[in-house]
Amino acid sequence: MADNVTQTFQEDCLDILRQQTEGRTVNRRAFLSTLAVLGVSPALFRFTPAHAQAKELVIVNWGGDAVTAMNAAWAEPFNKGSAVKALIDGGGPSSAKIKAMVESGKVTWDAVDRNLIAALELGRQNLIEKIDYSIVDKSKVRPEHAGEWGLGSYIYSNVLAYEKGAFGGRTPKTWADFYNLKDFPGKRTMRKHIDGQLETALLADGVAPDKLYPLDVKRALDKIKSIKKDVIFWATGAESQQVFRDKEVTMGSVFNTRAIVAKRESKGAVDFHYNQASAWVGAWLVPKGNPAGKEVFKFMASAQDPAGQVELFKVMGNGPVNPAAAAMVPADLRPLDPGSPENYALQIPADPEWYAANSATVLNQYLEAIS
Amino acid sequence: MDLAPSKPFRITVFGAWLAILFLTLPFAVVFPVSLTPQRYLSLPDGELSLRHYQTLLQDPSWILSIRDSLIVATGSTLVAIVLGTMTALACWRISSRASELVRMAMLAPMIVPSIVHALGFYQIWAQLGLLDTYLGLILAHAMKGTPYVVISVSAALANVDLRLEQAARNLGATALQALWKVIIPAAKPGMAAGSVFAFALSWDELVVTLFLSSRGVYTLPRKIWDGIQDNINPAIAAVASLMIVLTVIAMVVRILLARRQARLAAVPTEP
Amino acid sequence: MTADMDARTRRVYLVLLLAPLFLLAFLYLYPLSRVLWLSVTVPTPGFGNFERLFTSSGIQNVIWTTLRICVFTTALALLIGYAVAYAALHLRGWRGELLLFFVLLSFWLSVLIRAFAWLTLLQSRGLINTWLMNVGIIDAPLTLIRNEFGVVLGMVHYMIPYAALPLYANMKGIDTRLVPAARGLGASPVQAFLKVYLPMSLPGLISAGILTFIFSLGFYVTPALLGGGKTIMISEYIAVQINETLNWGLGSMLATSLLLAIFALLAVLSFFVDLRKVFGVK
Repeated sequence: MADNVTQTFQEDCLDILRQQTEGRTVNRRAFLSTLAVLGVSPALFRFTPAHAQAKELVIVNWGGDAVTAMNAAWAEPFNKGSAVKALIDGGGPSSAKIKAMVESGKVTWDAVDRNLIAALELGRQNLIEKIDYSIVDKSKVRPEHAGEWGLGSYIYSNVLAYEKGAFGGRTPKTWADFYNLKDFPGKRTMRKHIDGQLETALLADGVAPDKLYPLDVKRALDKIKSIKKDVIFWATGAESQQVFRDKEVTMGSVFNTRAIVAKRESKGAVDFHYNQASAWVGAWLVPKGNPAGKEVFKFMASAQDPAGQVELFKVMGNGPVNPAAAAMVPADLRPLDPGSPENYALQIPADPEWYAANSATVLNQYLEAIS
Repeated sequence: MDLAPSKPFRITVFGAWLAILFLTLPFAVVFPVSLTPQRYLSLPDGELSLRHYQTLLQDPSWILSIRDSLIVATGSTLVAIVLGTMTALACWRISSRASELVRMAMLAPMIVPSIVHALGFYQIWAQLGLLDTYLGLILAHAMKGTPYVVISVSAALANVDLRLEQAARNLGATALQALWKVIIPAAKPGMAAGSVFAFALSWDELVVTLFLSSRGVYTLPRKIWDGIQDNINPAIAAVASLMIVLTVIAMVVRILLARRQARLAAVPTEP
Repeated sequence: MTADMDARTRRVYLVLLLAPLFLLAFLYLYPLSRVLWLSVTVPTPGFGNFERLFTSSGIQNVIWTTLRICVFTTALALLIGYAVAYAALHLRGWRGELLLFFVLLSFWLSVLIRAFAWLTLLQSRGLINTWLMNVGIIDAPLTLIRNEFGVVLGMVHYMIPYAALPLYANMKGIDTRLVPAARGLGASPVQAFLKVYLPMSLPGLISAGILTFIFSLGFYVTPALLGGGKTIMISEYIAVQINETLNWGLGSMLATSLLLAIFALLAVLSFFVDLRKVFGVK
């Protein structure tokens, strides 16, 4: 399998097979009419189905409510003034799938909803396009949110959420309280991923916020290990909220978006704050060789409009990345906005450079430490 | 077999029913959850609601995802049954070192973690134009299902005497006739077990599906996964409940038919 | 064994063998080998990835956890599955069929909903703990889940049908007339079972065991949800390398090692039992 001759031969076989089956349905007529009754498009049984319509932009996120929300906030406003229509696909743009897609040369995605760390990791592997700042407006985001390969799209945070009635009237204010099981009894929940988690341990251990990066991994892991017996590690946002619902935990290190939902649903019994939170930024990335080419940057530029960002915040809790949007957030929702000037000042922005350089190694160390 | 009255047998039977109790315990949660008024998985708290059944019947995306899952699961089961039974039969009859190696190779799709062959499928399927097609997903799931058929059919053949085939041949049957009339019937329990596995595997498969499909083919696990970022939709409890009820109905009908047939058969045809 | 086969029979069975083999080679082994190849080429050519197997205590821990859980799961699923298959086959009339029917019914529950059901039943304020405390059997909730016990419980639940059905298929082919014969010669029911029935069902037991063990190696979602995030098995670890860290070399190294280890295990096993028997050849 090693030598190139074999590979070329096998690739050639694939080509022949493809040529011979091109466009031909694999099934008989009777079967096709059955499919028609079922409403199944026979095209899906064909080899090489029709290629994606040239007149569309495929924007990929992680699915669920975000599909409807991003559609209303960003795709619809963009589509009103554009011949090329943006559509939101909840297909889950994992790094692996982006890499596999780009390497296969059959790219079907135009933009993906990831973050600035992924932008650096994938950008350095030449898997994504550079952001075209002649089309999108650099001045509509904070300087740290305009990356070479990724453009900030919304702000989210890793916050401390807590069960209000669990500590006899006391309120956990810092991560030190989170790690203090004696004065704040009950189990904790943390993310089964390093993003924003090591920071909690170091801040609790007394590291100054401006000295946080580069993270002292060993010190952080030791601190986390000291309480891991009492920690339930969550993998999905739904799980992190479920453990609060079931009263399995009294405190959690969770997404602000999830904390907002939990607070609303519990009518305030679960609360959270942005103090010492870790601020993150979602970012648009463009897979190398995306089908719509430069057109995708017009969509990004359109999504920089503050109105759409405020719309998304109202539905999903993702804070507007455009500082101009903060003032447009309704007054009663402003305390929940991670991107508001007051809340943003309380938080410590995550350092994408540190993560891009270290996360692959440290993620494994983290998983090994908690298991 | 006549162990029925013995004490050890009764203990075994008791144990088996306990196991069934354990197996069906989650149903005690799944049925109530399907009636929850909330939009997340939860036991209903007083109030019951049919909203999730309504979702299933009215929201086209759920209906379409069930349809796609049925297409892919049925297709891949058929392919796996054919491939797996052929392999198991041939290995059983030929029985040489080489056939042992074949059987080992057939186990590979079981051993290798899904994400790894998902990546492998993606690379080749992209070349063949099989991404996001029923055929692509059916073939990938069939590859995963085949080993289960090979194992179940092999287990079923383990106690079948090779001389059975010889006997059939001696009575004048051709090799194919012997295969069709004698050996395949003996393999049937294994084929049945294998097809259940292959179907269940495809019905619940997510990792490969996420890699190989996007908007064209949208199976039930993908629909379920779609909600995992927000709330796992209780409609999945409704799906499970409906499937269980349908299976129970099918079973009852089958038993009733069998009884009727038995009654008819009991009527003496000759005086 | 092959000697008594005439040329025509041979041809029929050879076709039976070659057709699926060709498909498997083209649609599975070829794509798979391209990925596994990465284990010795990425990030640098050589066996650097395989060295990690011996130097990284983290990886060794993951492997050890996986083995421990899979062995327990397999043993329990086989024991329970054997009882179920035996009862289903030997109970008269509809009872046996009903038993089997319930086994099949559990297939409709997806991994996610099963995990949720177990959490609802077993967590500290779950149905079982609440009931036990109300009745007064316990004072404080038992930790039944979000630990390895919960993981094994959830996995055994999933694996029972996978153990029971092949056992059932195998037992169906056993010539049961030998058991009454043994009893007639004065053996007790237990003796007759141990000396006659069990040896005959051993091939089925081993192949069901192989199936269950290999299947449990691939578990990922169940341990993640029922283990409180602290039980990381090899499939999840590999998925992290492929999806998150893009360390495809390490991921495919682990997959390759898994494959080789199972094949080696089967080879070793073949010294002690006739594997051909296990796979249905006399």
